[in-house]
Amino acid sequence: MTHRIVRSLNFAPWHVALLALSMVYGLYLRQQLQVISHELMVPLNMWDQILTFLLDPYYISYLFVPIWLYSSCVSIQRHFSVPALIRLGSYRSWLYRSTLHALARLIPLLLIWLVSATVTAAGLPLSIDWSATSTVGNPLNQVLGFVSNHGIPPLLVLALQLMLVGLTLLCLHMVLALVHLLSSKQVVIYAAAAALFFAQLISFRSRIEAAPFLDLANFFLLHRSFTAYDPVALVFLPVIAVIGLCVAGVQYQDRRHRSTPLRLPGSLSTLLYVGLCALGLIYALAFELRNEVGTPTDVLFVAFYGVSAEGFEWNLYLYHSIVFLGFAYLFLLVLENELKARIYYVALRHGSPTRWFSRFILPVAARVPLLLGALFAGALLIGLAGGPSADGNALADLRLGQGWVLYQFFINGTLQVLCYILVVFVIGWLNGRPMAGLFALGCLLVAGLPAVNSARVLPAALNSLGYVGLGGQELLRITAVLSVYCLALLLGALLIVKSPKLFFNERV
Amino acid sequence: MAVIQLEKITKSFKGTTLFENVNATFDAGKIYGIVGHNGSGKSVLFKLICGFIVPDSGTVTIDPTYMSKNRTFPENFGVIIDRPGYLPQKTGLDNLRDLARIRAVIGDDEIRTAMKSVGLAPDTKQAVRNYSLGMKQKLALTQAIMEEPQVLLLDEPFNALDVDSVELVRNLLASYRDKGRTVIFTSHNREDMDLLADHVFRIRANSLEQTA
Amino acid sequence: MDRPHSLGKFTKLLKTVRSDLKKTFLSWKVTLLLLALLALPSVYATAISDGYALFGPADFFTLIIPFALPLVFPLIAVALYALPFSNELSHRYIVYTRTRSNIRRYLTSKALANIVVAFVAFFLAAFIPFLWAFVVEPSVGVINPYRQTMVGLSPAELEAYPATVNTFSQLLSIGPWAYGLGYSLWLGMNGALYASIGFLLLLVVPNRFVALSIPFIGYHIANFVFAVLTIPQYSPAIVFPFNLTQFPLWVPFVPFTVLAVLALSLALYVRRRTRELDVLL
Repeated sequence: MTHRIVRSLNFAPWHVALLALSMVYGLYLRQQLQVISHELMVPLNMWDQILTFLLDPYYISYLFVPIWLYSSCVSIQRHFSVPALIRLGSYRSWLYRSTLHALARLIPLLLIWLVSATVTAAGLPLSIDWSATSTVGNPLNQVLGFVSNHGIPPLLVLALQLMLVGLTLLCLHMVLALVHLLSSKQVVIYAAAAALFFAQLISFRSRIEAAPFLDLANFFLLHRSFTAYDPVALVFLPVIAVIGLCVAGVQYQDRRHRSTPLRLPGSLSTLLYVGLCALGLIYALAFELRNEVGTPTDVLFVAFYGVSAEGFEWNLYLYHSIVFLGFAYLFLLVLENELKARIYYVALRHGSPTRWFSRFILPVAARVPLLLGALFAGALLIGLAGGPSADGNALADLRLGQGWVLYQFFINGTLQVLCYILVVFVIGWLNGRPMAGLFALGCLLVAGLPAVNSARVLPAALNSLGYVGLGGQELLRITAVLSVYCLALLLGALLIVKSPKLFFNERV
Repeated sequence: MAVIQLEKITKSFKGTTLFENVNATFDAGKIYGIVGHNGSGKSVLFKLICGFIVPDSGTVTIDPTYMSKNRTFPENFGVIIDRPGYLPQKTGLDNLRDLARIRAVIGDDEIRTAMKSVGLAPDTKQAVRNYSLGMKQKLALTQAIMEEPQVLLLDEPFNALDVDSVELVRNLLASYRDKGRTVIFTSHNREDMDLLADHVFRIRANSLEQTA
Repeated sequence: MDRPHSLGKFTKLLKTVRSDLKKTFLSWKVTLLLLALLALPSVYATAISDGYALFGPADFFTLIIPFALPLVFPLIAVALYALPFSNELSHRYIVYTRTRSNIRRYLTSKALANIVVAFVAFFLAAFIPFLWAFVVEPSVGVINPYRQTMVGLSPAELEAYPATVNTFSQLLSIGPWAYGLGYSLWLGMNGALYASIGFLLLLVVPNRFVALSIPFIGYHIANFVFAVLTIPQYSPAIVFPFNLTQFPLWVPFVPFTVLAVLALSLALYVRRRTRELDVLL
């Protein structure tokens, strides 16, 4: 399905018109830049043009966003039909499919934007670094002057801006899709799109400093994100949270219609798991913090401390493993059902192994941010039960910035659990027996120990909040390590799924 | 157009050749019987047709009605391959519900009707792990027929069934043919072949020969 | 009159266990390989011993016991015998043994073989490091000299110190062999206990994967719960007491006894209901 949809991304005639319009606007921006460069008496390079274009609020709010919202409304209505729902089997599958369609629409739009920015930068000196114009702090050059002062190379700014806009637009699409699922009325979805359009217009003009997560412009313009979130990567959290809520919303719809194709075993094992998660949080407050809480994230920090570069405390590492490897064990219990001869009958009904895989793994993957959100909320609630810290400095050394604590917990936490799930899937499926998955979990338990993973290159316990003390750079490196593992494992999983010999394993 | 067409199919496993240059055509509205000794490759043939394994050479062509571009496995096929597949801790009805939810074209009523048509009681609380061999076979048959597929591939569907159930299933398969659907089944019982099959194929010396 | 008959039965049982053990260890080559594997931690610990200020063979011994072992110990215990045995159940091989042999005797022989395999493996996992630390290393003298002083301790107190460090090290006051054999027996017994629980659960719990994972999952959950209750000395992790202060020798036997009672109850249940157990039908 994914292939077909991605194959279906094609350039419509209106894309040419948009490209032409973008080019003209790009040339206008280039002229403005020449004026600034002339006034400041410093040279430009290609990044001035490219990033000025990509961070231009007018282009985004008056052209890009309305085009996107309108095309989303049309696409959602076109793909929402009773036969499609019957064929896909659940609202959730429909949402995933609709989001894939949105991705196929998004890629050409982003390409047009990027191509216009790059082509209109022709003739400017090529460089991998910021130009002198960018780094000069001047009211004429506020945006680039501000962004270039964060120590991030221009190429990374470009990547982050495209990722941010892309993810935000997909998120808006999912919100509209959910609105349509809940209302099923044409007027409601267009009203919602119009409301979003005006909300972002207002947000571009005036900031909502008290609640940065309500300020839509923060999710479209990286320079606004830098002001609102520290570290800037945290800007992705609210977007991921909204995506998680959309998924939860469709799941609720599915449950209402009694059509939940996959779920983790809801019985004793899950109950025990939830109980242990709660017990760990209470333990963190009562015994590690002695009921004294300094900041809202203290309980979270202590409970999920896991390991640090210096060593580990048995209780904290145990709790960390029970929560994160425990989730992978619950996944293994579900996987066990799929490893039986029943897979012939299941795969045949799904139509292709890839579709089976996406329907099997995506709901579990979607639960990871939900799990982390629930743990975070639980830690905050339990923290409220604690009194203020008598010794405010007790944790001061550890609180190197709550932003990085949240980054480590949510971003690296998501990647780490996804790694666990994929390891269990790949090993379990290749071997054909769930016990192999359990041995993999045992190995990961050992690999997480600081003595084994001193270089932090093995995908185990890297989401420990104990590593926050190593600083932001190290956490970003951990993100890179986990991302590489996730991609490699996903590739491995897809290879398994695509090969009938491996997919049906010894059951052939 | 034929529902299923096999052209020059060759398939070996670890040096043992099962099929060599096999050709066969299966048309709609007919019942085909396949016979062959144990280990001759009857199940492999069904897996090849379904796309669960790929031939070393040759092509399996499925009528496009049942094989849209985005599918690896055919649509609207009901199959029993190798052995019944089930979740042992669940009841028969729950097992079938799980499978039915994937395509979501039938509801509880259709599942119950299908169970009754092969002689299974839908509301029994017995977990499948406690089913007899015959009951497991009936469960496998139910999952194959419950979505009213256009093509049935049944590997030894009469295995472990009592005399009454055999009669039930025979009638069921005959009714499928009358509705213009295609049935391909394997059996070691000559009577099944004589009574049901319009055409009989025999797997012999790595080839598929039409004998009737 | 009955005695020769029971003796015959017993001999038959022993024969089955022996043939099973032969099957498990396959050959001398495999046994030697396993022994080499068990000796590996000793070699590794010797190689890294420079980085530690060790105060004697007992300290060196705790360094050799692999630090990862407490984390995966129940998993290894079930992997040695119960896991291969689960194949007999999943492929219904055991059903066909029923007409050929008394099922109770068959299961008893399997259970005994399981106990022997796990006991021997874990006994050696402690005894080989003991021999290395107390016999081989002192005669070779790689780590000499050990620490001769410790802040706040007189020479006499330092001499008595090793016997006060962990639970079981009080056996050092009797002699090093009492300590080595005592701790090796303790680890062997625990290995056999966890392996037995896994084995018996295979017969009782219909889902074989869940049955084999319960000892591992339960071990960690119990360790966490006892840690939360601030009584880690009663947790199953006391099998490896090296990161806790010394407790009286009866303390580790509390969780051991609880688990032994659990194993016995399971064994009784299996014995009483052999004819009704789903997995044997």
